[in-house]
Amino acid sequence: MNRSTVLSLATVLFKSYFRASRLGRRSFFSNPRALLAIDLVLFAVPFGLLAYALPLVPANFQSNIRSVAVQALVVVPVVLTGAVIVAGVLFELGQSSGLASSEAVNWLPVSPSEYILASSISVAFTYSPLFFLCLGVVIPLAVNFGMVSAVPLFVSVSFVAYLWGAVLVEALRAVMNRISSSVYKKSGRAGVALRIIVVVILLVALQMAFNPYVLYVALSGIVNGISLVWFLPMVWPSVAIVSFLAADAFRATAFTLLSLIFTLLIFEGASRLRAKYWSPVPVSIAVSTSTVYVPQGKSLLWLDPVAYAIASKELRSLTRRREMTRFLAIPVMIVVASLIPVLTSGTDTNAAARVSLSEGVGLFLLAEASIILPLMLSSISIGQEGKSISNFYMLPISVKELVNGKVFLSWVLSGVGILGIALLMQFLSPVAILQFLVVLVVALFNVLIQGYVGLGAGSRYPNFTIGPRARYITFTGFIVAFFIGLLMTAGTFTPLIMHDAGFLGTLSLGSVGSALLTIVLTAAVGITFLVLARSYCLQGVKKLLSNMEA
Amino acid sequence: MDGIVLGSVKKTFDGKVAVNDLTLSVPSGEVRGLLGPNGSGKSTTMKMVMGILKPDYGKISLCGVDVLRDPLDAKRLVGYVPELPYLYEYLTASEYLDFVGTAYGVDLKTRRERVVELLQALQMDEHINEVMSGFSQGMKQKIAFTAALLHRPKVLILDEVLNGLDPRSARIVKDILLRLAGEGVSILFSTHVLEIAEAVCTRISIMNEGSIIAEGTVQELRSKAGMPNSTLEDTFLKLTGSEDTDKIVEALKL
Repeated sequence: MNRSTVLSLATVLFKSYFRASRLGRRSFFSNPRALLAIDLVLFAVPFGLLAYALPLVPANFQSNIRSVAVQALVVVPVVLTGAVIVAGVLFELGQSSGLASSEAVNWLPVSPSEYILASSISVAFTYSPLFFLCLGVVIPLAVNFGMVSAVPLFVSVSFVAYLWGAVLVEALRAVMNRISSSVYKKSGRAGVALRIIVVVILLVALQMAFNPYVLYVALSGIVNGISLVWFLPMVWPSVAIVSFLAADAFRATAFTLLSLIFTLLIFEGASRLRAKYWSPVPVSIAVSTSTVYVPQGKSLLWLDPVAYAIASKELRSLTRRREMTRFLAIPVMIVVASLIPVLTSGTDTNAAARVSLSEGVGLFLLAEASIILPLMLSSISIGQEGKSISNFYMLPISVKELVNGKVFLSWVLSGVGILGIALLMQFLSPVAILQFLVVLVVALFNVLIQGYVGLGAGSRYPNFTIGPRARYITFTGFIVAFFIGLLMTAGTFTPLIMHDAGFLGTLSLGSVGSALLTIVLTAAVGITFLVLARSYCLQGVKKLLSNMEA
Repeated sequence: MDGIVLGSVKKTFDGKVAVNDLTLSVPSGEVRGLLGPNGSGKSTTMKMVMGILKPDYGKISLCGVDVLRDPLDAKRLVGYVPELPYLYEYLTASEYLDFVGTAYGVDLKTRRERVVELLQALQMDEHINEVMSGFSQGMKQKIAFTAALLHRPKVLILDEVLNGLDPRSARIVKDILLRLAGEGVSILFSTHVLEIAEAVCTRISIMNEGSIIAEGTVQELRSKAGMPNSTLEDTFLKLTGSEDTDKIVEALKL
């Protein structure tokens, strides 16, 4: 193994990772020295603060904090492995499938083990702020509670566990690449559907895993059950620390050595997997076994054939591109995130309080979803074209056709999402049917408005960079879209809020009259906003199509 | 009527002149070769003809339709193959051709006939239902070429259209171009392969630093360069002032 090859490759991979991701493009983060400075700060600041503050904690709290310190010492190695794997897998999911094949390393004289080592160092360095932050928090805790002797072991095994994450990411990349290639080649459309399901489940599971409530339960389980699952390599670093704290030197040494041996084993495994399964050539996916061309050209509702063709293309982009699939998971993530407080309030014996919480969450969730879903889907729809945007300049497609085709998908998907959320909330916490319908109508009206707002901003501030974690709209565009969207949502929901707060009840119209007045007021405000938003959108797209950036 | 007309067209990028006061006309049935070194303004000119880039000033028309005033009508007359065809790689070839055919308003029957005959000729019919992300550059080029011909355009703008094509397909494309020219289609054709230009083009315009520095048939260009018996390559190098290649290679310490 050539050390200079490994180091120079690790530097290149680190820089390309950061410059390809939206965070570090042309920023000081792309400089390895800057990251070292951040590491130092993230270690020193919590270390200093805790070292100063811990002795000042009243004696009656000391025992509680001591148990936290012990838990931290034990749990941090496991958390580090998991966090690096999660970050690495998310990066891989956000990366366009075409990028992997263009890596120059595929045709340079670099051995699989050199690549794995270099890439692992690069991944480890990339996420090093997390490692140093953990050290900065845990070391002063350990020192304060007389566990200084455990610190060297803690640092060593944490580092080993942290490296595991980086090496395992490499193994997963090689396997994922081969599995996805094989699955797509054999199963075509079914493979695409399977990927969507897997990505959605994975992202939702990750979101659940980082929910404070779920995290607390899981970490408590790890600490309490660590001795029971000693045979799992992932917990060997933690078992070594537990054994050391229990003054069992033999067991502590044995598990430390086992951890080191496991490091070598997974490194060797990852190298072999890369050598065997790395296939840099993108596969041809046949969505049909037929080789007969059957021309398609449909229209739907108010969509003419051109707008319909654009909408179909948008749907295929969302479902077939690996880097776009994550956007399909967002609606599910929003619902899950909002439902966790409701579902975890099961210990609350006050049923009325629980229903009230559900109602509040329901209205908030619908308002939130009716702005986020259409705004997100439509604001990325221009930027996600990448260089293929040139097709719209080459073909005789009018501004209205483009707008209608682009906005349609965001409306339909958001509408289905809103309907699903509304039905779920009605199931969890039923309200009067009239109230349910009024809320639903207002939310759907807002979906129409936000679709135009998002597309208007997306066409004015597109980001055509296609790469890992591409966001397809500039940061300014995102802020503008969100600000306009928020203002219009507030306006559209105002009659409903007035209705729910009882302001409209003072007009003595009765429940039906009050609901009708809410709908009329919402329609008046909504139609005004809809006209404004459509105009904003049409002007943006017209300007975009008038002259392509060279 | 001339198929392509550019009158005193100028285009700058951040103050740098890419195309300078360019006047060009390509009559119906002519294959006009646009030659020039890298960065001479060929692709910018073609993009302006397509209405993709707006000129700073000047007039551009296609079959009498003003590109700047009626861009959609102008685009309906043209087929364009860019230097790098950015296809929607997540679509299958048939889905992409349907998208393009719908945009051009080609009816289903005509589309079926055109797609089948063109893809069979280019040996791409077996790949019709494959997602294009796995296609080679040549395969993508064939799909882009098919898409450009779907609607029987009156004008063809072809930027390095033979890039990546195998010899058989390149020959077929050349023959198709000659036949289309015979049917009255105006073709603006850029290439760096001078043998191809010589074989396909009726007339050639040589661009350098944003301007046309010479124009005419291959024989006329040779005469202008004062090299009546030379190859087109030597003529081109002389006219563009880059004939010192021997000295450069000799100076290399290879």
